[in-house]
Amino acid sequence: MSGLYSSLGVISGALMTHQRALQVHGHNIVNAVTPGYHRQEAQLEAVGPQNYGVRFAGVKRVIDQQLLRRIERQIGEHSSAEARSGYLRGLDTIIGDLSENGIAGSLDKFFSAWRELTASPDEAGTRLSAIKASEDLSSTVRQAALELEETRRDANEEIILRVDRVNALLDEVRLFNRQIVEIESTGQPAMDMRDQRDIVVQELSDLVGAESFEDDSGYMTVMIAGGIVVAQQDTARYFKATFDNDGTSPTFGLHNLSLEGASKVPLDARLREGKIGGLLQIRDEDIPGFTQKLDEFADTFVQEINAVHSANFGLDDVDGRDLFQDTLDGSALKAANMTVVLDIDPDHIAASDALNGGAGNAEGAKAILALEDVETMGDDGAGNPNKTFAQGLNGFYVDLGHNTRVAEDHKNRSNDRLEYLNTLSEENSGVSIEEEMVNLNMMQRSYQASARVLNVIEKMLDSLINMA
Amino acid sequence: MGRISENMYFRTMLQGVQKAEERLYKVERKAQTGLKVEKPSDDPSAVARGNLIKRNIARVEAMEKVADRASIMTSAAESALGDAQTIISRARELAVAASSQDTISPDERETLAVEIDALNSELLSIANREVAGVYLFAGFKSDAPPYNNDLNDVEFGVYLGDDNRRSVEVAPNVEVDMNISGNDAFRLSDSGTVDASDDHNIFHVLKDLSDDLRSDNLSGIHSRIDELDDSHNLLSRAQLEVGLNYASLLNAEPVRETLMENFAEARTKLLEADLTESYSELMQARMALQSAIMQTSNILSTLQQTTMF
Repeated sequence: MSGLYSSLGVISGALMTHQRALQVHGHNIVNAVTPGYHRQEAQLEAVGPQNYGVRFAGVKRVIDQQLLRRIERQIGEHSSAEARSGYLRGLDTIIGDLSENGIAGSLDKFFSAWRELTASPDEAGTRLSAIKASEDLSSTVRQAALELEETRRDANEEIILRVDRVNALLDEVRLFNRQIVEIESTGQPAMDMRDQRDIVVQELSDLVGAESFEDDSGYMTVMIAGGIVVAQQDTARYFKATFDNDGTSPTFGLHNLSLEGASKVPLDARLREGKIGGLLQIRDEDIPGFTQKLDEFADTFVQEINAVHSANFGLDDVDGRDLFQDTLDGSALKAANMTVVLDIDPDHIAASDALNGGAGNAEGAKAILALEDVETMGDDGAGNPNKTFAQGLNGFYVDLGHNTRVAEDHKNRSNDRLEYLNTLSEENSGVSIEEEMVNLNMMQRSYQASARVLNVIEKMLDSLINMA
Repeated sequence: MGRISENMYFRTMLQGVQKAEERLYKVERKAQTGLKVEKPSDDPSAVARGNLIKRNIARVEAMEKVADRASIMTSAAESALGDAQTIISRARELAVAASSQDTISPDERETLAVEIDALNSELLSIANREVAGVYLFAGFKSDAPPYNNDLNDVEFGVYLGDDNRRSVEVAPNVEVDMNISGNDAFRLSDSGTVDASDDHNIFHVLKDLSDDLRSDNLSGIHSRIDELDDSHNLLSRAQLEVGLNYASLLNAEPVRETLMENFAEARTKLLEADLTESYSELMQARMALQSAIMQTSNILSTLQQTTMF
């Protein structure tokens, strides 16, 4: 009798075990497409060696921690490249306009107008065209400079907007750390919570490029910018954006990003991963580089053209007039301020090279035209300019195109790597419905078989009782 | 390849369709604009060369406008100088007629003198001829009539322009004069003084002829006939010079055309998309997208079947 009763124990254990396993596979199936979910495996083991039966030994989260960390890092790299390439593509299309309406096209039109002046300085229409072309060129340059400035402000704005989210995520990591350790101290597994914490860290990485590791007690430590700890156990270091009102600072009028704490850690120059890292790079490296090139062009162009223009005479025999507005304090002209002098009149166009030179004197116009081929910009290393205006401008276009191209390539490469890593992770930890269905069937059949054994034992007990 | 998870199917499907869509967008854009380099990032290294080609095109186009302008001026000057020669020929006929007749009444001489004065006025209006407000024979001082045309004024026929030639570039490194000055066309001798009123020009010859007719100065009339011959020669030389300039302008035209063709070809090669190529790319991209969509729908229906068991 005792053998049969102990067999009953074995079977009831088996039925319960298979039920739990069914639950696990069901959990997998319903979470097949849940973001960040890692499949779980029911751990069954034979009860032995003294006793018979099967036992539910627990649930295992199928996860490759190393791979997860690699994905995290890759997300940071990819998001940075993606943010950067997004902004650069916009600039590339808008101010990189290679049509005749772009800066290079307007420069060509400027010199074309002066070339026409060499034939008809005595025609009001041609003089007017020269003014118009000068205005078009300055407005195109100005628009480009303003677009750069605006894009810089947009990037700054986006950084500020995202800082709040970063801090909220840091808070979540801190809270998850506390809860996971608390729950697990009671012996309960906190697997789904870990999945959620991983998602939070991935989102953090998306924003600021995070690296993380879990210590033995279950706490997750998160670091940014090559090792600065921002979350550890149940503490976090928060991000702060402070308005920069230092007039001499390159980020004057924008915001400086730093980590709060006993000693403030400035991040502007350090953070290059994640969306915010990419935005900082756009704001503090890419755009200032383009602006500098454009400013150099505008300043040199205005100085050189004005020098020749003011040495020559208008139709009214007055010399000493600038064509473009120069700065009042002698500082370098910014592209954003490039403009034709206010009260310009067709008669002021200095096409003549002599006092009383005559309406048909176009020697002044020829002198302006000659500047098209003079090397006025750049530096050959010995302090001599080695580029014409057009070549100087090309430097701006090439930088813009090159940076955009590099960012785009970087984005595509990091995306491919990320996809590859995700595929590896999915292969390992993703839920395959087919597999789960098979497992489900397997458990169902085991359950049925156990029930069948129960049936046999019941019959045996029955015959035993009826014998009496 | 190990296990295939549910997410992998969907991710792959999505990616396949997205990549095919992106590719189609790019080639469609290229086919629409006809440009393979539309913005700097399309080919940063082609930008500098592309801008150089465009600049050269703009330059030659501007030279064309300059040449058109010069052509108008030059051909107007050429025909003006032709008209001037006709007037001188007529004046010479009248002078010869007056000098060859032994008996010529004072009335007849007066009539001849009046006709010479009229011819002189006409000649002066030719010398003061303008095209759209630009005086042809004034040198740089092109905004005012170069000659005093008041026959009764002591300053009559005095040149008010200057001796400057207006040279323009009509093809790369090809400079052509688009005018000749009044002195080049109408001055017979240089007095050598700074005062231009001392110079002797064709208008003075006609003025003297009319005076000689009125004063019945036969030897004077004979001298004037010689001077009219000189004048005719002067005008015809000037016309020849202007004609040569006009020829240079015409010669520059095919030079510009050849350059434009070369530049346009270079631009096409460097920046523009090949039509046949972009058409075939477009077809390929469309097919790729269709096949991605078809694969997606196949996978979806297969997945539906497998989860039925």
